[in-house]
Amino acid sequence: MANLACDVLVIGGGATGVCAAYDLARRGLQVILADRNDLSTGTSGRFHGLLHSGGRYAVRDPESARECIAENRILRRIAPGIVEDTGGVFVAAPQDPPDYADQWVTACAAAGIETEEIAIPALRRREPALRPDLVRAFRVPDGSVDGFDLGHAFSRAAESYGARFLLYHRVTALAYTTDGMRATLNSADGTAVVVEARWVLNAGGPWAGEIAALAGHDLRVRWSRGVMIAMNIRWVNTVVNRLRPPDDGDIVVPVGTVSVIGTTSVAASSPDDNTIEPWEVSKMLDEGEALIAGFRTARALRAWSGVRPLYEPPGAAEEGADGRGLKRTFSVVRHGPGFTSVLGGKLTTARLMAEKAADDVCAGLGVDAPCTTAAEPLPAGTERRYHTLGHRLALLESGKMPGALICECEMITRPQLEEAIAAYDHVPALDDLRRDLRLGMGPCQGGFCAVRAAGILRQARDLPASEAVEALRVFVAERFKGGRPLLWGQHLRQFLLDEMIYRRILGLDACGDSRPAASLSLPPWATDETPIPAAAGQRVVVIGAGLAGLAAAVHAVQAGARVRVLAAGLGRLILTPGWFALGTFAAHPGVEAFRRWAAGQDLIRLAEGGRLPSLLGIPRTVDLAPEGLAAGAIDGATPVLIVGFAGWRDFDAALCSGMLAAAGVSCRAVSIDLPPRHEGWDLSPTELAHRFDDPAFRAEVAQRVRARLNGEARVGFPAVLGLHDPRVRAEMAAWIGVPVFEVPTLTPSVPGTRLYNTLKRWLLRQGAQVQVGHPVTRLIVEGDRVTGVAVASAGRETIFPGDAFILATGGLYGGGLLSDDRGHVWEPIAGLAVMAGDDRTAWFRDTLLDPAGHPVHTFGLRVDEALRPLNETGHPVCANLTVAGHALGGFSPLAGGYDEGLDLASAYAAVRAALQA
Amino acid sequence: MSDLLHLLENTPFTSDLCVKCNICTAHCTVAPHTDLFPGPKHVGPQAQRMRQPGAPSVDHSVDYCSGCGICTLVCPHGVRVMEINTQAKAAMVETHGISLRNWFLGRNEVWGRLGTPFAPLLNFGTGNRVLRWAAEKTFRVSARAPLPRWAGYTFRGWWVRRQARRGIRGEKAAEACDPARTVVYFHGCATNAYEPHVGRTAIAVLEHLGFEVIVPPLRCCGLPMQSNGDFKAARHYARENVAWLEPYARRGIPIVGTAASCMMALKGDYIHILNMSDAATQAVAAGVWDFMEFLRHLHTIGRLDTNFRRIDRRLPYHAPCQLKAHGIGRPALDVLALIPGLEMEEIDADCCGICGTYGFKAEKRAISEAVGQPIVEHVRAGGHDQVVCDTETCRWQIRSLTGAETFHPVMLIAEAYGLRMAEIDDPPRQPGA
Ligand SMILES: Cc1cc2nc3c(=O)[nH]c(=O)nc-3n(C[C@H](O)[C@H](O)[C@H](O)COP(=O)(O)OP(=O)(O)OC[C@H]3O[C@@H](n4cnc5c(N)ncnc54)[C@H](O)[C@@H]3O)c2cc1C
Repeated sequence: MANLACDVLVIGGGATGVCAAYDLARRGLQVILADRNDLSTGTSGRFHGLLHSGGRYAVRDPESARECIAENRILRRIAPGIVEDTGGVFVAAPQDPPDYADQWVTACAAAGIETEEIAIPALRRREPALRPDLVRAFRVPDGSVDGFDLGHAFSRAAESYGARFLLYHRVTALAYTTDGMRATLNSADGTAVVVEARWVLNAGGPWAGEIAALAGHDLRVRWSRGVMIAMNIRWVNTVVNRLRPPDDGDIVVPVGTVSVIGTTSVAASSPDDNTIEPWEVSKMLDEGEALIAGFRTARALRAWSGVRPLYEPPGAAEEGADGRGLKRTFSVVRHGPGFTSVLGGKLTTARLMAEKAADDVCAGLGVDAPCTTAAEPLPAGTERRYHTLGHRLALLESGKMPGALICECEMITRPQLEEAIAAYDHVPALDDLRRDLRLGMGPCQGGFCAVRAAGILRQARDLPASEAVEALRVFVAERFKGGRPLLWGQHLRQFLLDEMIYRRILGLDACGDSRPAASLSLPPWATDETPIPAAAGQRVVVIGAGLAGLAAAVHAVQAGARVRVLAAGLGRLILTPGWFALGTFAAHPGVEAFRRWAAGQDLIRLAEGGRLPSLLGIPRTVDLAPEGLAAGAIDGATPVLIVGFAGWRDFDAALCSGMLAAAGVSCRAVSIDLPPRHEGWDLSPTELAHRFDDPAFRAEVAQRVRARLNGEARVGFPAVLGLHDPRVRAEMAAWIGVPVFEVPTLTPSVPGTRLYNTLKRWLLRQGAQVQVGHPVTRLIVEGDRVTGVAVASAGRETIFPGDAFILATGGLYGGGLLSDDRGHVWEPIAGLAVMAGDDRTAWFRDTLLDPAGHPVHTFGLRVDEALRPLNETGHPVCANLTVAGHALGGFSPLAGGYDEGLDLASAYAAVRAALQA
Repeated sequence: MSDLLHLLENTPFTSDLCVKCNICTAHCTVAPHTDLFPGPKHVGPQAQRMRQPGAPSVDHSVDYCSGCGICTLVCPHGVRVMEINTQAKAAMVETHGISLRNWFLGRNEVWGRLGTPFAPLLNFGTGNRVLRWAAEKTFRVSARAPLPRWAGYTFRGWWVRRQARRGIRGEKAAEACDPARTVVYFHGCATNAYEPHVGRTAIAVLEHLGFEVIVPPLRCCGLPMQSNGDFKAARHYARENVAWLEPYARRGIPIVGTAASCMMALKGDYIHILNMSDAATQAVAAGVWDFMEFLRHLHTIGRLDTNFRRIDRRLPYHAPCQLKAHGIGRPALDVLALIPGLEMEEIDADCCGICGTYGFKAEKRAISEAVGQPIVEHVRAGGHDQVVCDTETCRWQIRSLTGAETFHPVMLIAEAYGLRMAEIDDPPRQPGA
């Protein structure tokens, strides 16, 4: 047990605590600050991000308003680096009380808050997302402030005056002593520390009551929980407040790359109550819609809640259950000689709270040094970050942020990650790095960067591959928890994509790709063996350019039809590992037909699968694979060399080889430099594959690999061995002297791209038309037949006629189905009947990688036995319209292990049925 | 912008839709050929999240985007990647100004017109290696760029003279036109100065089909300025064109053009890149047709004369990026399929590499040529000496890369109708007379 002594122990490393530590240290006291967690992990890390001008409080709570505007000005002066000067506006929507504006202007003037009315059109030139029907608008000096940055800046400033920080140290006991207090702290690793302090300052935020209770005091704290939602992009670049008496969801704050809407105010049962109720999410979206038309359809990225501590002085009157009525100023409470608590207030006023609390402490200790924190800027060098939105982009572009870009969304490079990792004396969790750098906080929520970061962590700390993979799993699970309340619309598509990456490309779900789906009772079309009828001259229109659509086009061309493929964009083909999970559909004639077709295509010839390594070297059971991937079948006998490219972010040879070794393969990894040493922007897998099409380039690589060979009988590369040239792998094998195989990379998948390119080229050669960027918006129906489809072309729509139509638009990922926050799932082209559950909270199971998959995977179109989609009354919509691929409801292809099987089989059956109609 | 759809169709905001899937990265035509371009996802929706409206532009790698637009086409999520990039280029120009070279390249209209009287001299100059080398060194216009040859007369001049011969001065006002029998023809700058025969042929075909053609004195569509980031100038031209065209569009008189890229500017770019979302611009967009699209439409409604003479040929066809962006399929292929004996094959190439003025720039010429290689391979493998394509700069590029003769599909239509240049200059009858 260690013993420490100091003048003042500050409990709590939130905004108030760090400001107090800084203030007291500046006054010459010896300060220790303890937090049970990292800095800013309490309310200060779960707040809204607004540097208040005070306008919000002007009418109801003028004292708070005055404090806010004063502190707002001070903070901008002393710590400009943590404030983004966004400015703010108060806007009145048509439904807001019309007389409030004038009352508010007067109150602001009285509180010393400058306001300036601005015409709505002028406002909308700056903020085009705002609704045109807003009634009035006033500028105020709001700003945006980052709680983590504030924590870092003030703690470093305090340290520069000698303060010490004991993070991950929870105060578990407090006792008065003759000359102060004794605190017992328990550290994260279980050791206890005793701190003898002449005074203790309790800055425990919502936990202040619990802390006071440790010394036997009754500090009555009421908790008010608030939910905030970060929207994916900055819909506004100015803080936007509703001009009405404070209520739920009336502020949007641009914070870093996102815009945050908040908040609710709900009585909470404990300071740790971080629930987010679905109604709160809906409420935020409703309110957002009142400011920004279309807000509801925009993407919500993360939701969190924080708990406000509202001090209820003894004898305070009941002020309404939500606590919004309790005053938002702060209170300093002296419990006894040696013990003071400070609570309430706002992050904006943290410095002032610290000042008043420190005054009380100093008075108690007989120290008469005055507070100087408002007068001088923070010591030089204590603020590291700068708040302009484009900061990271500017550094990246100017070459001042070299190294591979690992988190693309938030722009974090490999050296930055390495530096952040090195700053820990233990192995950090990926979630720690998230808080340090915003890793995985952008739109993809870790789908791409998490695995890259896990590789860097492994290398930096020389971890066994399995530990790095475990860290990755934990991170994936945490990101899912954060995203889950918001999974509808585009963010749902994001998580479905991430899930495909985790399960199929990384192999994280440990259940193999192909499995007989025991529970799947096959519909008649899936076992029907009749061939596709001849279709000379018939015009077949295929909607969708994923595997199902393109395979359908091939079948139709082979039957003699004139084929046109229309697609909004490309399908999932290039988001897969490149191999085929067929499952139950393995023997379907559609699969057979596709294999025969593929046999004539050099670049993508298919072979029997086997147990193939995922990107992480986790064995997957695969039915069918392009020869390059199939050559990697795990046999346990031959020693394997896995090759990675130094600094290339999309494949980590050591992780792959480490996990393969764990699976019993004799395996080694090497990293070679790409010739010539690559200095530019990161290469995507397809760009790198393009380089391998150059014989000189691949010869050079082969030579470098050969030099590193040490008795291995096979060499595995990331799947980048040529994009167009089918000879690359064979040539490299000849040069290296042993067989060569490919292992999947992050997307874009080169094997998938080869397959798409081959399909498209073949179709064009046959005179078919393949047109992407052609979103079909409706069907033209005459009687019981579709006669054409309308495409949203530039300027107006274009009708494409046809005789038979295949709908292969994919499911919720592909865009064939859309969804919203109210749990509504619909088919956008023809309003077809959908199989889906309407309770959004039941769409997913609790963990993303649950082997059973998720109910949401089964959502899709309802069809009859001939794959004709049904309308709401259960009747086929049209005779000559059929459905293929992931648009079909009732299947669970990802977890069931038949992703490609479903596409190929249903494509064949759909063409057959549509041509017969 | 009051309805929901609009918000997420507003170009910068479409970055909200990006799920990072990398489909655009996989199909980018430029990124494989240079280290200097980080790819469409990065400079598009990704960087967009970090760009602050009104603040100085901080990124410049987007300059390597050629604007081909394949990224926007392949995106299954509705992100207008290329449009975001083009706006980012405009922000660069706003912050750092425009280079003299790019300013000059954007002024196609002016040098086309001013150069006409000096055609022999200029054609000698652009064909002269030494001068081209000097131009590359001083002006950074690639010595290998496929500069066009001045025709020595302008389409507009020809048109005005021809109208004068027929006693017509000025263009008929929209109100005086019969919407069912009138079209407005938009010729564009390249037709005006370098390929007036394309315009003449288009007029002949339209008149052959019984239309009265109106050719208002329109300006450059603005595209070359737009793609060089000079939005101010582009908008200036765009507004003039919209003002001219709006009355015709409102009367339902089709606005037809043989330059697929100019037509895309009118149909889509004014709205989605230049952010002109006013009603007049929208009305014009809805009334604009690519020439072959218009013929296909006539066929659909039974108004196309399909009395085509046989043309026994097999020809490769390249669909320009700008045409693909129309979202109208491949109207040239659909219409040419009606000509007996004629077999068309679409070249599997995303882009020819020229991208307006991109391939003219010295530092981008090698990229531009690499992008066009699939066309070269196709033409060589098939032993073709002709290529059909709907836009001028693509035709010049393909001609320069492959040595093949290149022409607009309207030339085949005229041939199949048996229209001859002599008749085109001096029409046998007054349309509608
Ligand atoms: C929903 C919501 C939105 C808000 N929005 C804004 C806003 O936009 N602008 C604004 O200015 N203010 C805002 N606030 C208020 C602001 O967040 C808080 O006033 C401020 O963060 C409080 O900081 P603090 O340091 O007092 O408390 P906290 O940040 O909660 O810090 C308390 C610390 O004590 C630690 N701790 C607890 N128990 C122990 C123990 N036993 N031992 C050691 N450490 C312990 C905790 O780990 C925590 O780090 C908001 C609050 C909420 C709830």
